[in-house]
Amino acid sequence: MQKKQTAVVGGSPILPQQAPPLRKDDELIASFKAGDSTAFDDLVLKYERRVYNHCLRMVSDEVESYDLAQEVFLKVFRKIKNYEHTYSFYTWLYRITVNCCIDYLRKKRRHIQEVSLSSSPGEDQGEVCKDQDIPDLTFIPETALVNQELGDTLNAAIAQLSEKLRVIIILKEVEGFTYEEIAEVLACSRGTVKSRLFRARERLKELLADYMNIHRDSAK
Amino acid sequence: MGYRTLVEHNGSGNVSDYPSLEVKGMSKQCKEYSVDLSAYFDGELEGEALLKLEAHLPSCIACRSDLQKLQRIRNALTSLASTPPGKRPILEALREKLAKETEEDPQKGPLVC
Repeated sequence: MQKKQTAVVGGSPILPQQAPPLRKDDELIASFKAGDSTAFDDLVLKYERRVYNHCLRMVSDEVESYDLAQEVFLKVFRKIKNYEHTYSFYTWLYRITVNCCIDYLRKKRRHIQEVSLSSSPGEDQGEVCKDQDIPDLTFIPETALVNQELGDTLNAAIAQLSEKLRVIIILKEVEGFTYEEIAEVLACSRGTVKSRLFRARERLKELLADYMNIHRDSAK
Repeated sequence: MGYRTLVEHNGSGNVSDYPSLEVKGMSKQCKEYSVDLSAYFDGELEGEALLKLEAHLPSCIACRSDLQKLQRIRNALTSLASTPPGKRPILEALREKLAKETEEDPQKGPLVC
């Protein structure tokens, strides 16, 4: 149950519908490093929705995504003093987010494999996820999709991509990152971004073939 | 120059203004372009590869059809709604967690670095 309140440690009281902070990331980081704890609050408020939604697309579970988003910001909090401005804060934050999601999915897969070890030895560990790796699609968006069916179809298709392909399609098509930014987030080359995006799209074309036939003339 | 530019050059600015292009299969030559086509769609293709693809596209229905598919996928994915993170603000939960950690282990220090 939601508490009514207020600052637990430092920071300003949490107000509902708080306006987004206007200060730039670099200013917020500098302020936080100088001792202004509200600057960290502002960073969280600024990015929590994007981080949460990235996690949601990756793991398809609201509760886990909420926990993962917290974990991301805890890591940011602990590492921010070592943050160097080689990359933008935004890119750095996404790198942490992606790593948290991948770690979570790997742990989950390992757990499932341990449980079902005796029943499914020697299964192919290829690029495409097996059914057992596909998380339950339990999330129901609160805000409007074009329609629920489309949302379900898309989320199911995304969930069937391997982790590598899933993360790259989300960064590109949902977050709108450039190849250079994706390469920074994933610590890989631009060429890898290019080829993985191609593979992700090829797979999505297969998975969304029915949808695309139905909506053939809806490209805008 | 990328996909958008091609469309604009063709006086359209909107992919739906092309007749719907449905092609059963790609030729061997087109398959060689397919990775570049994806990058071209993103406006990320450069140099000689860009020039070659731009020379190929006007005469290739299969590749233009593929571009339309990529656009349809993009349209669909961008329609996915952004969801607010649960009923309780993450910041609130985060503060509690940090306070608890500090309480249990004062070595970890206060909120400020």
